[in-house]
Amino acid sequence: MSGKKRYDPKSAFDDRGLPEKANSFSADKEEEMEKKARPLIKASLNELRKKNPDLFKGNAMADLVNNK
Amino acid sequence: MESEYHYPLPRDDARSPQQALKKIRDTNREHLYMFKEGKQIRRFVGEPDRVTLPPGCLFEMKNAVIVHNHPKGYSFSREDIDAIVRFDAKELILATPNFIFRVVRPESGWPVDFDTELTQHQYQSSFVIANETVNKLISANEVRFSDKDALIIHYLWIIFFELNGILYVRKKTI
Repeated sequence: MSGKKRYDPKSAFDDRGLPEKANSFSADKEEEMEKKARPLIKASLNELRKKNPDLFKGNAMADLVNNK
Repeated sequence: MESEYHYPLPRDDARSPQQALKKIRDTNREHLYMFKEGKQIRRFVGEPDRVTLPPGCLFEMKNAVIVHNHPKGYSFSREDIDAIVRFDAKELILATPNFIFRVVRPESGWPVDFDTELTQHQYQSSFVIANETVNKLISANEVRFSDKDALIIHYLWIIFFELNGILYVRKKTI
């Protein structure tokens, strides 16, 4: 028997798991960081795809690959 | 005494998801609207860090567009995504003071299920990659360690939704 945990409806939209501190980054700074992060994410995903292709479904990565 | 649930409130004058987003993006409590066929069917107001719907109302999310907000400015929580997938909502749009986040159910339905090992593995792998990515930015002196939380959640969802071919976008608010 698997010990599958029963879903608690009270957990829906319970965001207490998000960081306590409010995000103080400006929108421009966040966008600038995302531009720097995208190539790093893409490289990590390529590596993951080689190691564990079962994790990828459908057209995964299409957007990242096509992204500047 | 604090109520266990946030019960539905009378509908307000938000006639579209866009109008609801404008109303809630700068508030300091969480809100949740349900829209079906363009019409507001339910509205809830919660606490600064959660909104707890009565179980019967969760089932009304099927095929609905959900409009929600996070006053602290972060992207979706795992609990947000688990709920919209589990109750088969069509779309979740999240307002924060700086951004609008949006995730859309693929035509073939949600391809994830947080009760399965595969989805849990994908979520964990996404977290690991997001964490490594931010650590690299910290090592390159692009961000401070104290800013890590601000970036990691959005990156986690970029990766998770890419793994599953699900549309996820973030737009700056005007």
